[in-house]
Amino acid sequence: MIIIRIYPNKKILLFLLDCYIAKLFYCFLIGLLSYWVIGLFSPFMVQAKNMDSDSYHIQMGNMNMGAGLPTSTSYNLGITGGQTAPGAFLSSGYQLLAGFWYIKTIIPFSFSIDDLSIDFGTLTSNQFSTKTNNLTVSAGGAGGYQVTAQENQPLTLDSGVATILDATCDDTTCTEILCRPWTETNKYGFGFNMSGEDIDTGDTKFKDSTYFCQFADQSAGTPETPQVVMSKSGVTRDPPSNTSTAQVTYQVNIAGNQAAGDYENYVMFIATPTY
Amino acid sequence: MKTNVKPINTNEQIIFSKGAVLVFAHLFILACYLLKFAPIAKAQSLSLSLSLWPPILEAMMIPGKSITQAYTITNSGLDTIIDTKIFKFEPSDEHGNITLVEEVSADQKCPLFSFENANLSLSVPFRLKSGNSEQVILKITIPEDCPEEDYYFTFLFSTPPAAKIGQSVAREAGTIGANLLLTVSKDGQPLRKGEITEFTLNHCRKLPLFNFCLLDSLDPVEFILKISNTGQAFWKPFGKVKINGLLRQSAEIEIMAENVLTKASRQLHGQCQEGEEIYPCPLGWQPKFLLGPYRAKAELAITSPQGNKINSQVTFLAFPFKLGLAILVAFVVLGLIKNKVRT
Repeated sequence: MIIIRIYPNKKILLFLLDCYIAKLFYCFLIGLLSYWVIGLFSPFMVQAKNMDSDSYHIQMGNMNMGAGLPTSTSYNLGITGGQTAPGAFLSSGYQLLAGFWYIKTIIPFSFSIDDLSIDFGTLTSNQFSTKTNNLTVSAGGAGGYQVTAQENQPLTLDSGVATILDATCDDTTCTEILCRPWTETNKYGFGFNMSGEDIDTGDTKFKDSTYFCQFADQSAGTPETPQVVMSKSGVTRDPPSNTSTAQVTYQVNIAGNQAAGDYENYVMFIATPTY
Repeated sequence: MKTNVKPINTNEQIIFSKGAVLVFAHLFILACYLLKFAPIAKAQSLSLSLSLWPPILEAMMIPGKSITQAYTITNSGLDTIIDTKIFKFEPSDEHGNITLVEEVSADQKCPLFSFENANLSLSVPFRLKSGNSEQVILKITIPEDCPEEDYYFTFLFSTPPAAKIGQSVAREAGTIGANLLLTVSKDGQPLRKGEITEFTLNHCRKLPLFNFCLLDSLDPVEFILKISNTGQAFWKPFGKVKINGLLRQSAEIEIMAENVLTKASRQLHGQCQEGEEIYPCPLGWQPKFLLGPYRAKAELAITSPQGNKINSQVTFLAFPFKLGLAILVAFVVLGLIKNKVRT
């Protein structure tokens, strides 16, 4: 049997490696020059575009879209001159703009809640009871939006003599402003988590599914300010529905000595467009 | 004796049997229907879906005048009760969001709000059936003695909390609103002025003693542009961010004309377009490769393109830091390999 062994020549290997490094350097130089040339002569990809459409070539600060049947006791509203013709304003006594002129004005601002009654059933001590519903917003006709939430009071026994306090989470620090993890079943109360689109996932908000907050309490000595649960500074344009949806997860846990009975409260969600 | 005993009719037996089968069949179908569709019916009855148009009303009025605006509220859920309220609002941030401050009281004089509808009144609930719309005509009157300033309100349409179904329950109530921006002015030319409070690059990294931002050649350019209203009436900015590079590179980014309220500031967006639709998007520029020094200048006009001009500029230097680092690492690795082979 003949065995052929090939031992690489060190000099050849070093020569090849040198060639390779040199080639790489030349490639880098050529690439850099190419980028330079592309950068000099290529048309730039700009995110924002000019208003070229005939129907939206509008540059007046004050104008009227004639939408929503605006009327006056003395004049029907046609067009208003705004800054370019203050006389028109003086003769009519007003100038008016309804809807955002830069967005398709026929799209209304919409808000939906898919379940208005969150039934926790029979609450069992030291055991989380969790329910969910969905909030959906379509702000196609508005520049952006926010949804705030506030409860009228903590969960309260029908007879009004006992309450399930708002949750303070695992480290007993969470409030209506500060969200914290809540996974331990020996921590009691009522709280909520948000997930989905247009929610704040910062460290002090709904970082993940274990982070819970209290609802702002309207019945507190000084009523707590409703807190933002969904927000977007632009229009909702996610295809195909052009809506934003977020899930609210409600969680309750009671101690063994919690008074028996049915508890209830209500939560108010307010959806407003940006100005 | 003839007994009048009616013989048992076998046909009747058959008819009775057929009837029983029919009754049972109907009951069965009914039970199936209830079992199958009852949960859906329950869910539908406890959902809410409202839409409102227009979402914003901007008006400038002379004291002593009135305007009306029709709002269309549509109920896409099941039958509900709608209550109407008007709240004052304040800007809550630099992105156009609001904080509701207090409900407009019945004795408020400036401005006065009322409905023109014969069958509807402000703050009096009305029924809105499923799939129906109601046109609410809001009348806004500015009394003669109203001070010349801006007034900001939100017109709210609320549903009451859902009925309690179940044991321990958190009931929900929904509200949808539209904003009203009113300027009261006798001559139609209120003082409108403002200033650029911040114009910089997002994630701007500056070297000590140098007044320009450093940027990687492959990174997108995103600007932060904030303006504040120091005048007596709200206005919109009109303008562009113009970018020029030393190597004859240039670009222009259109700025979205968004309302800036009095004593408030707002972070502006770029203006994007898709078909006929124009909408706000991040104020950015994404060229394929940046190299060298650049100067970006924000040029804005207040209220109209012919209005008072304000501007600000920022300088930045782009260099292929990431690419250079990658090449440097590659050379070091190859060098190490070379040394290893040599030894």
